[in-house]
Amino acid sequence: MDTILRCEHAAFHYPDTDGAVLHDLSLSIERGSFTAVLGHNGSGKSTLAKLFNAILLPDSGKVYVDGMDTSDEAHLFDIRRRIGMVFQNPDNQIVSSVVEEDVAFAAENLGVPPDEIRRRVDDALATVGMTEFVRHAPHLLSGGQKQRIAIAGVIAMEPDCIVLDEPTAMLDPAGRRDVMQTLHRLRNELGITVVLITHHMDEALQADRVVVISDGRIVLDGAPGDVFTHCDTLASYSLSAPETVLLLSALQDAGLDVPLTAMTPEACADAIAAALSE
Amino acid sequence: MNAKLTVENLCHVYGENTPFRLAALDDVSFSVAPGELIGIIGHTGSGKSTLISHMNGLMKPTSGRILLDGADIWADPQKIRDIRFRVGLVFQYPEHQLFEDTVYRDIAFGPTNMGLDEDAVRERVEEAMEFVGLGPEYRNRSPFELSGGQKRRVAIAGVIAMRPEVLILDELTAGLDPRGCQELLGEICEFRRRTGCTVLLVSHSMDEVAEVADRILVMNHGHVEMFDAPGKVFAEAERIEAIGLTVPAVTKVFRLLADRGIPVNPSIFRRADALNALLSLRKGGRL
Repeated sequence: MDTILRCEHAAFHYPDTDGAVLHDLSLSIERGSFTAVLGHNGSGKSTLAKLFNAILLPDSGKVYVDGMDTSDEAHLFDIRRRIGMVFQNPDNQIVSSVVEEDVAFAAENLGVPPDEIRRRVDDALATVGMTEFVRHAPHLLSGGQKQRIAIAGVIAMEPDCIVLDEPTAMLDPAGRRDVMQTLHRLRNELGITVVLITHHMDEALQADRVVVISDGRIVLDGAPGDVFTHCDTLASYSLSAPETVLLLSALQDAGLDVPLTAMTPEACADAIAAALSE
Repeated sequence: MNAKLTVENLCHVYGENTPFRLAALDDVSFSVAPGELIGIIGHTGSGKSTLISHMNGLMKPTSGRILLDGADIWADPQKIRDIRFRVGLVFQYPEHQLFEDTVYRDIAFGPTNMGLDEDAVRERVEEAMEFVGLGPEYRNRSPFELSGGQKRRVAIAGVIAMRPEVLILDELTAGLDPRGCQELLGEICEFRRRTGCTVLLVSHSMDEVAEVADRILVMNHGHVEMFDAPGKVFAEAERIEAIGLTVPAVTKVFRLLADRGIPVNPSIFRRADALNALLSLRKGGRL
């Protein structure tokens, strides 16, 4: 496996607090993959995200980005350039009063030449579907649009990987759908590795791999079809399987022969129709 | 029955006489019965937040009226403060507004400003803490050292402590994990059951609204698109999706089943109802 992010026995606790947030956590993320990270509030998933681009350093253990140790300050610039971060609240991430200037901000700080910045900003806005807003004021946009501007700013750095910490928590269904479509495009068209931290099971369902964290440890790790069939286990970690799986599980309990892996509404309807016609 | 809250031809225009003029609310009218739980949904920019900011007089209508128990809340602008005690508004991410050094003092802020004496304030703080599931051991803790879900409970308790007749919650569960969502929703439903309070719940989550609301108000571009029982609203799935919203996952599955010729009601939205419908099909031996 070509690994882009690697945690080796990483442990972390915040200063002046009792108890570790992350315990001996080991995780490798494959280049070009789409991984969803789930976990209850306080499980340590946001802390993990911050380890990935050296915002935080582990107390013990190591975190490597493309083979570079995040605790080595000589690599800091390179690590931050390669791993882009997007946070929950778009209003906290907007730095400029014009969309194109906001998108250019990070690339400018990297010392990219002006002609190249022009190209990158235009490309990034096209990728997130916001080209027509290039001269708009970001604070007048909707939440989903602001979040896509934040993502465009990260893309303009031409990162290898983008880590998003609950980017859709404040968005309406249309905004969430636009952000998810954008993430698929980054992965499929630009080959950018996506790590998505989320509370939305239907978003995690769209990933290649789902990692569940509870109390600073990885408790489930696998394809969505594996992880989401563990309804009771997920509930014990304050999470929930997707509604489709819960319905299928209840039907199974009632003696109907349906697979729990039929997770999309289409697959779920097909499975139920098939079981009823038997 | 007399309405608890009535919105009459409400219009609100931002930036009148500027190039940015925006009619955020356009002739909105509806009324809510005492004790009802209304879900308010709509895409970003549909006017939900502007609407609820009018309910307790934080914003003034450009035209139209808000009636609380049949009386215009702006009849005497000097008394608008009383309306704010009667209609409690909990903003999105209310935990960002915590400011006191103990949980008790933060929750006591509202009732103290109502001019209540110390004993009455204490009684209300204790009652509010109980409603949101914060035990007495939290009284003297700093709200800032609590978890996200607990902080949000402190903020909600601060509004509940004013014993509002109408409680409005903007994105109550945003950012909470599934269990946290369930617990908080359960506490609000219990609060409503015990006090008879009228509740307006603004949400982006169809599943959440479907689970608890008596009626759903669907906002679209500043006007009321639909206002009906959940089953009626979800029966018009195409219309819901056309305005950038979604129907609950169970409804999606049942619409697809109906498309496949299986005789089910395509507007079912609760898992328990879905299960019963499917099992009765099997028992009926029709298939």
